[in-house]
Amino acid sequence: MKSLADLQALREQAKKRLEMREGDADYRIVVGMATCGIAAGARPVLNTLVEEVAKHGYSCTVTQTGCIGMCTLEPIVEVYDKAGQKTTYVLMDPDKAVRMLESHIRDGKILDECTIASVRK
Amino acid sequence: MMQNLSMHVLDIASNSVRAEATDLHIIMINSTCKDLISIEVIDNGKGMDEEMIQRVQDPFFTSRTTRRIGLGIPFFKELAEACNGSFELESQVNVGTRIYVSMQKSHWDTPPLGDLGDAVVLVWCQKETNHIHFDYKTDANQFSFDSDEIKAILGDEVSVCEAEIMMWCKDYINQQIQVCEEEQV
Repeated sequence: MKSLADLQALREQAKKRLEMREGDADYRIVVGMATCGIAAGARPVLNTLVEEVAKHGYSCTVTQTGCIGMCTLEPIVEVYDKAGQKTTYVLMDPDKAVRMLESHIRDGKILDECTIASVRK
Repeated sequence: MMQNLSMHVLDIASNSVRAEATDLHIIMINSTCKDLISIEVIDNGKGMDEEMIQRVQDPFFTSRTTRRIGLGIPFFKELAEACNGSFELESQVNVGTRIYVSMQKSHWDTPPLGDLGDAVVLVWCQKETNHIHFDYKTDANQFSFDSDEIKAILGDEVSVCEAEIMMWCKDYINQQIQVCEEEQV
């Protein structure tokens, strides 16, 4: 049974993790979470990203946004690097999200098969 | 379409965040005695005038500019109609908005609850400075989640949006809902 007392211990754990991450994160990940995104399955994608980032300590933040404007390609995940360069991943699912993190965030290689360029030729 | 009720909660409460609400109250009633499930979202956002209240119920209206149709509120209204329930939308400019949907609990088309803890926490993380209060009521029990209570423990250094905190809050809410449901039997 969870009690609010457990939260105190978790706070210390989170604090330690944040101290280890020096300065700003290398990447910013944004997930579209409007009606279109939610209906298309953006929630499990967002949850996977949050969990995997915490588990592996990737240097990135994960946030939500509204409708990105291409509802038929949801779930959409945007990755911004420190220079503000954006990569747009489309038709995402939890499995692709994991592969994207490993390739793009960990190894610095864009996962071409899932980008918007791969569907809009 | 939304597969469960928590997705509607997330979607409708996101409208409140976009309407610059700082205070959100989400009330869910799950009553076997009254054969009723209801969801109510009350915010102190910028509100809507009479004309806009009518227009948001039309799928071919949205306040956003990224696309031309808005389905969140029409979906929510359709849910009430499909499940023998009712839909209420009240709003006042600069005061806030209240949206309410009820369903017949035993109705064939009433969707499952879904992951409510997740929905509440995701709404909070859209703007973590917001105050969120979530009430879950059954015939015999009640559970309240208040973001201020969590913030008092976390302090300023750790955000609710940090993964471990987010996941804990979700599990905590879902566990308390479970307790409300079990004690009833």
